[in-house]
Amino acid sequence: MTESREPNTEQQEEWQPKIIGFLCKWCSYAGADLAGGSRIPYPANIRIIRVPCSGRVNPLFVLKCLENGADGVLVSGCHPGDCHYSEGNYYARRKFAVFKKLLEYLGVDPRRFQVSWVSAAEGEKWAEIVKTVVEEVRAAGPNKQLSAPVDKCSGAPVKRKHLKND
Amino acid sequence: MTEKIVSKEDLKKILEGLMKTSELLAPGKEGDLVLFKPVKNPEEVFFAYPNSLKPVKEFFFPPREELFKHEIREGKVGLSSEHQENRKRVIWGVRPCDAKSLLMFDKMFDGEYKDSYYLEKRAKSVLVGLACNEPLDSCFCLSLNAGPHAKEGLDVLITDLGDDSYLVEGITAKGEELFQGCGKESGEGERTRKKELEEAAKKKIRKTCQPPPDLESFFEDPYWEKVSRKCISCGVCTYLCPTCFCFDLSYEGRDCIRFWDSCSFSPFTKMTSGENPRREKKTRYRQRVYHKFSYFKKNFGEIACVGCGRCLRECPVKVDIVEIVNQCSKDKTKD
Amino acid sequence: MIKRLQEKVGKLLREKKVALVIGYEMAGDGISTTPCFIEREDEVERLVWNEHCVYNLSRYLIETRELASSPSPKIGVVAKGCDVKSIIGLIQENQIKRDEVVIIGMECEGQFDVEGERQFKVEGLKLKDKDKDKDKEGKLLEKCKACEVHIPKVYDLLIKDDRNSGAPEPQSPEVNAYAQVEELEGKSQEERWQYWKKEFARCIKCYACRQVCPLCFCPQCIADQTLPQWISPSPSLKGNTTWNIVRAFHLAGRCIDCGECERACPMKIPLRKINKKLGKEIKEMFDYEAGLDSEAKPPLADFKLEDPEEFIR
Repeated sequence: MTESREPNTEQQEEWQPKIIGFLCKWCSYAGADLAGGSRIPYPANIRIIRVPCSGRVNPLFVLKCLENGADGVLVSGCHPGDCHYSEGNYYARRKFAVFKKLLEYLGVDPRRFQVSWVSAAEGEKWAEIVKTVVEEVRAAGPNKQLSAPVDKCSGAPVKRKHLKND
Repeated sequence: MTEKIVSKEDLKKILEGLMKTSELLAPGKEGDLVLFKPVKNPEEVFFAYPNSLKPVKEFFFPPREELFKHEIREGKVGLSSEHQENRKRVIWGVRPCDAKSLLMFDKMFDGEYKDSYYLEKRAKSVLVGLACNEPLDSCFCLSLNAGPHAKEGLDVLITDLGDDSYLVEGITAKGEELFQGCGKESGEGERTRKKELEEAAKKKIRKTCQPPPDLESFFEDPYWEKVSRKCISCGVCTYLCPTCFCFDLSYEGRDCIRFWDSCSFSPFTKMTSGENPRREKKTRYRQRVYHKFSYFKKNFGEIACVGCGRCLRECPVKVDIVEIVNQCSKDKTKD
Repeated sequence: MIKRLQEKVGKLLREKKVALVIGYEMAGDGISTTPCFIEREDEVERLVWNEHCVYNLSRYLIETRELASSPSPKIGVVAKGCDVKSIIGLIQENQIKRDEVVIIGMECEGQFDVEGERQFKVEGLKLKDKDKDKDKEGKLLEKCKACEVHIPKVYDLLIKDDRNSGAPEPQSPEVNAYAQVEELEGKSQEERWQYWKKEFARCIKCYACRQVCPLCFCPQCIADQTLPQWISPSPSLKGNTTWNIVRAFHLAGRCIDCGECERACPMKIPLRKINKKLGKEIKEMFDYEAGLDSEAKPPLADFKLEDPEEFIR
């Protein structure tokens, strides 16, 4: 489990949204690869995690990313009908339709969780989507909802004491 | 030991003063629930409640507590830990049963092994008790060496005498200090009134807990299977129990966290190998009963229950531990 | 009603049709009931039926299914209309077989939680003076107000309410079952977040919501996994929010709205409001309602080519 990096001076100067992308190996990942290969520029705010299928993405992955400091999550898979496993993205579609509604209902900013279909041939589209998602998340600001620091049980102020340093 | 009569107005003034000089925690309403929380307005302090939903143990043994954190300082790895500010903390409106439970915590955390995290919080806290005039049907403190007006574990005890007057009985020096210079001497009439209230409250407690002296001999009895059947293995009874102190440790990133754990949960005893000696529900339920009524007694000379009745009131399926303990010897003879 | 229930259960046990009947008996407080397990004919007198039979007993079916053998004896379970829905869910998800259970359906006019005691805890003794009937009205469980299954849809035996001798009441209430959900939907995103943040902050991770749920039957819950530790075992806002989202999402399209999670929650987190929202969305998007058809495919294990995808870029 990764941990959110403590803000250093550089980040404090200009905050950059941090976005995690879960990309299906067969389409979207190849699409992103094509974008890179074709030298189409797009923001470097996205960190890509390759998954076998968009259907593999458990909503818990999304929650864990947001919990650990990501400002947004993008799940991308094959267009309907193109799934390498025939129907994985159809299940993903239902799952994320419900999940998105749930997050919205709980008051989580809907811009923080996005889904797209990008095929292996759509390098241009991939770059466009990343641009839009980054801008939307930038507008939403740093994720203070799910990654909020842990609340203390009693309201008593605390101070930190070094125990050991050798 | 001093006794004083203070008015409701006096109490409000004292609360206002305490808010400034110390961290003040008192029961307040949150929706339908009564919970202890930091006092922001003395008007919000709640007096008319049988007991808070959560016991005060959470302020000494928090549900989640960072023990230490790994840090990198000047290229070296070190540890640091959080300490609450050493400001006096007043917990106002503690019921006698909950105060007694802290003495049991002391046996555990201030016995052979000294738990500095617990002791730090214990040392800076003053417990202001509120005598119980209206115990509930589910209360059974009387049979466990406690009572609705018991003073054990408290620093000061307040009794609501009605008519906006309160009898304040100082128990320890730090308790008396809080009420210095206010109120008036108590008279004979007030002392009698207090006695009456205490007797009346005692009469309302009808439930008694009488574990059989030979509880150990029922360990293998099929009784446990029968009585634990409806238990759903949640953690309500243990988490809301003022005397349950089991905890677990885990790392969250670089923080070492201590948090409440419950013997009702199946993974409670699960070992790394996958072996789980208490996989069955009945063994877990039996553990809860035996820990309270047998093991703790063996180790510390007392039953680990104060009769607050929270487990009976809050159990989602109304498992009645008192009934189960009382019945266990009868059931044995029947079979 | 109780007499007939006891007679029928007695008969089932006598004829060895069932090995065990899960029902309700009076609790020690003399007002509320508690689940009970009847194995012998002479125990049937413990069985009761009243307006405090809130528990969904189908929760115990998985634990007791090993006692059942086909064709008989089976496990008998006393079930209200709503409880039967979760039995259908369990059959649908291959957790129990239809011929392993004898459903003793109860005609139910709605249940009253012994919320009185909870109130009583807050208000002191004031409650006793209140008009008892009026008070009862106030305590009718939220879920019962919009109940459509006063008579269970599926049963082996039906115990009818003595009070209703004539035709059954019309079963479509005018109450909007989603009123609470819609109220929250109408609020702004920030208001919703603040609302849930406050609610989730109270969670103590006792897992009563999970343990009481008839459809939370995973042999190992994701919350109990330690490698990796998906859900923080300690109560903190972060972990509490994740837990509550995951719990609700695992029940999306499966929850039959028995409301047990919310009732069991000692911290009174309005969990039903989340489950209900998921039910509403699934009904709107996929035209599916849980607990009606044991042959149907669960909605999240199914798809249609024309499923909505406006949210996808």
